[in-house]
Amino acid sequence: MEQPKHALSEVQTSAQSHGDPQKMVRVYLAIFAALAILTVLTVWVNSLHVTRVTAISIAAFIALVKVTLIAMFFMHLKVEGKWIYGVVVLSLIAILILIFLISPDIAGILGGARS
Amino acid sequence: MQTPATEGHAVAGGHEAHPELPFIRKYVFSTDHKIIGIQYMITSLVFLLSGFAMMLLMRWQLAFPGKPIPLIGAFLPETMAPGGVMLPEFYNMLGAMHGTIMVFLGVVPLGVAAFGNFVLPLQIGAKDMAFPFLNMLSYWIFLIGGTLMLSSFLLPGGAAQSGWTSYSPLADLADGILQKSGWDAVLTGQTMWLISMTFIITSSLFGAINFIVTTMNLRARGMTWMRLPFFVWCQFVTAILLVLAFPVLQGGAILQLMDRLGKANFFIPANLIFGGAPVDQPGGGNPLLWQHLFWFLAHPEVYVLLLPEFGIVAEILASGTRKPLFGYKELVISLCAIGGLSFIVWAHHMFLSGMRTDVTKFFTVTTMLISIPSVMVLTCFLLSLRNGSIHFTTPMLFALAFVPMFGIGGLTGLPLGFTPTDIYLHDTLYVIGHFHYVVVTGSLIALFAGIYYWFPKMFGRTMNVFWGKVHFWISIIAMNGIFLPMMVQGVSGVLRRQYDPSFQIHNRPTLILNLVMSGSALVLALAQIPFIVNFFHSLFYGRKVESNPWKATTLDWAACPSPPPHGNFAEEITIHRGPYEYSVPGHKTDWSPQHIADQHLVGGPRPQQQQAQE
Amino acid sequence: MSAARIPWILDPSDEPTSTGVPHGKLGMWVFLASEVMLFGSLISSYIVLRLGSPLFIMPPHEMLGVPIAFVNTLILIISSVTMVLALAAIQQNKPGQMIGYMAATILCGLLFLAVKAYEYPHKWVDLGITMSSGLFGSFYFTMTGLHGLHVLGGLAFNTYILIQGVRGKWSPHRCERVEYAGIYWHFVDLVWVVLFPLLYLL
Repeated sequence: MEQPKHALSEVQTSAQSHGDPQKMVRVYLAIFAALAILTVLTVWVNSLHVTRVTAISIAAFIALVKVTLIAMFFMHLKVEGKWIYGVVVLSLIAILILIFLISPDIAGILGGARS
Repeated sequence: MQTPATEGHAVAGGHEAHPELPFIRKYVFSTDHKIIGIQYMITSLVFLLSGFAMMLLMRWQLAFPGKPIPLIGAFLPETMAPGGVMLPEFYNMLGAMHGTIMVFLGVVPLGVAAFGNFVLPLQIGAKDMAFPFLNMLSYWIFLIGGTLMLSSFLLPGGAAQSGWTSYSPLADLADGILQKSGWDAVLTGQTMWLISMTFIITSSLFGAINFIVTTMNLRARGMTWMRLPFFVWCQFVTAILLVLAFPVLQGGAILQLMDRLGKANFFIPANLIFGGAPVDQPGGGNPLLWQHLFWFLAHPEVYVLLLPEFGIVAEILASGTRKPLFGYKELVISLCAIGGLSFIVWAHHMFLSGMRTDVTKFFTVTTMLISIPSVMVLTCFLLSLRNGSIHFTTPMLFALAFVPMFGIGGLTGLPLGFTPTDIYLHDTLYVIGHFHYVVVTGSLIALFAGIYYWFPKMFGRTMNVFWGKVHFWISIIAMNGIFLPMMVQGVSGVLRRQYDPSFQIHNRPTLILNLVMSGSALVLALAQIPFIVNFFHSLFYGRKVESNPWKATTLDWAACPSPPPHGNFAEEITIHRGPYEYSVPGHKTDWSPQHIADQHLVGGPRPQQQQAQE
Repeated sequence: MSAARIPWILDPSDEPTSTGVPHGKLGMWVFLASEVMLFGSLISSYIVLRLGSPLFIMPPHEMLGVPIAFVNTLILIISSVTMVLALAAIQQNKPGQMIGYMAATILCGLLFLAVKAYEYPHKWVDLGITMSSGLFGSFYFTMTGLHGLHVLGGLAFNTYILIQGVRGKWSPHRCERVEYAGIYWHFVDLVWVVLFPLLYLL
């Protein structure tokens, strides 16, 4: 039988679930440094002379890393449970479906037989 | 059976009674899910009626092209029907607005917002939604959006004419928008369609968030996922569809709005000829992109039109047959399969758009696949009737009719999902017949069933049984009278969205059917009069009932009075069994409420003893 | 010390939930799922038209204004850090520090919008990149415009948090709304992190 969780006697302050705030401050500042460096990196790589595909891949990869850092640490996704992960994963699947299924038709890529 | 003790002014739920709210906070700007549900119900029924009236006008034109509209023709302005004769532009407006209103302002708010809001918290044992204030906001935003949408008829140039699908490049350039700027551009029918949709989408999103969090978080103790009434599952999956799909249409609508107001070219191709003249725009956009963005929402949207109604029918079938639903687990799995697959079938609406064949192949396969869980659900409903003790109440009549009618609707969809046959059938009246079978004889019938079923819970009185059955029989026959001939016309090749079908020679043999269809439409209109009178008369003079007239097992019926007080339940609910424990051997009655412990139910003659007595 | 709380009357935020996740947090994440789809649909549209439309003409790289956008990106990232530091501050029962960090967050947000307010006229007056000048211009203004509206919404939410903080409403046991405002604000930053390379670099 399912008991409702989060009963009053067990209310955690958000601090307790996120980890000791004092320690977390150092983590946040480290993530900030990482994000700043990655932003500089994005701009610098853009100035290099590489093929289109390479440029897009690198930019996408760096953006992915930054997005993951923000989501995991600033939005505390790292400590959240399966329900929040489920919400996030569902939305990612849905948006990937959109972009991959309209690409063959509108962008002319990722498809099979044309005509 | 035991019912919660308290009624009257004592507030349920164990929280402190607060002071009596003024009328406007209690019934107008209410945050109580029950009041909001009833507000949605009345409002969406009014919108349904307005969309129906538009359809009646269209049906007159189709049956008697070029003849003045009787009675109201004289009152229509010159811009719509000079001399009472409908202009083609007005016909287009009626068509576009009929579709938009019925889908977004009629069926969805009724199925999702009205019934979902009223019933869902009751069925999970909650005292209200997770976000009551947001709930109230949802309703008022919906009302504003709906009013804007209807009022677009009054704009210069009239309402939107580009179908409920608002296809580019027509919708991007309609109303001579390229020559307009500023407020002139905003106050056009097509622009107002886009703005109204923004309000409607926002309202739906807020509502869907509420439903998802409520279902996940506010279940009573012991209410595990697999003990939820099927209606709750349906609303939950529907809400997920809304959250993930609606924003994509919003994105597309923003782009189309920018095409109109900002003279962008998102969906306008190069070298476009519009209305005989070249369009003075560089182009570069792709009209198919609009179709993709639109149908990415609009296909899950048709499941939004359908799934809550599955839930309604399930509830009524279970209580009306006095036996558990057949295959609860299979129903839930099929529901989730339908929900998931609904995201990858959308382009079956676009088979003739000029898409690449690899894309059409993919979507044909997925469309064929999604028919499987749909058939599974219908089969489970059918098998639920086997060996049941069927009580032919008014809601049960509607629920029973749903099964074969939706079967016809669903099966007629298969040739549309299969590309070789769709090449012939696309844009014919066959398509209209198909989706009206699903939505009118399917969803709308189920919604009527829901109204008759939950009316006693909402208002503490029943609707009149005789007039309910009259409403049922005339409606179901009239509905078939409209849409069966339509399928015949469609297969003969009569195209949709045509102002005067006598134009095309190949239509002529089946034109006579228009008389049958329009006559049936009139009969259907007349059949709603007993319903409307019954509804309002029963509100005040209907026979009063106790809390559980249907002797149902779910919490909405068994655990709270009719109507439920603020806070719904007198004490904390604990769930002991599944939602459809009817006719359990060894129990005192043929219905075992979810929240009553075993020891209160067991007893009375055991089955062996009963047999011996025979 | 926060006001004495009578234990048997639950604040809605302390209600037990079947999942263990508070309503507000779950609701905020579901809302963000819808925002992923909204911005995702626009980003997808940009990508497919950019790749598939022969008339999609990119302005020359120098015209895109990378340096100023780079600074703007850093401003938004800084505002994200100050936001999460504000949450950490109130979790450590330092309301004064929290107010300071919230003010900094709002200031950075306003700065971001101010830079945009400079960028927009510069683009359409000096460079001729407008909503109707071509697909790039249309996408640029639509997407950054929608993002800007979301920044504005976030600023409104953050201002509410700040004002309530000044009135002493937040405490280590009562700071979940600060967290939710933060989740939303970080998402706004996250969207910009994707838009920046998409619209300025590639």
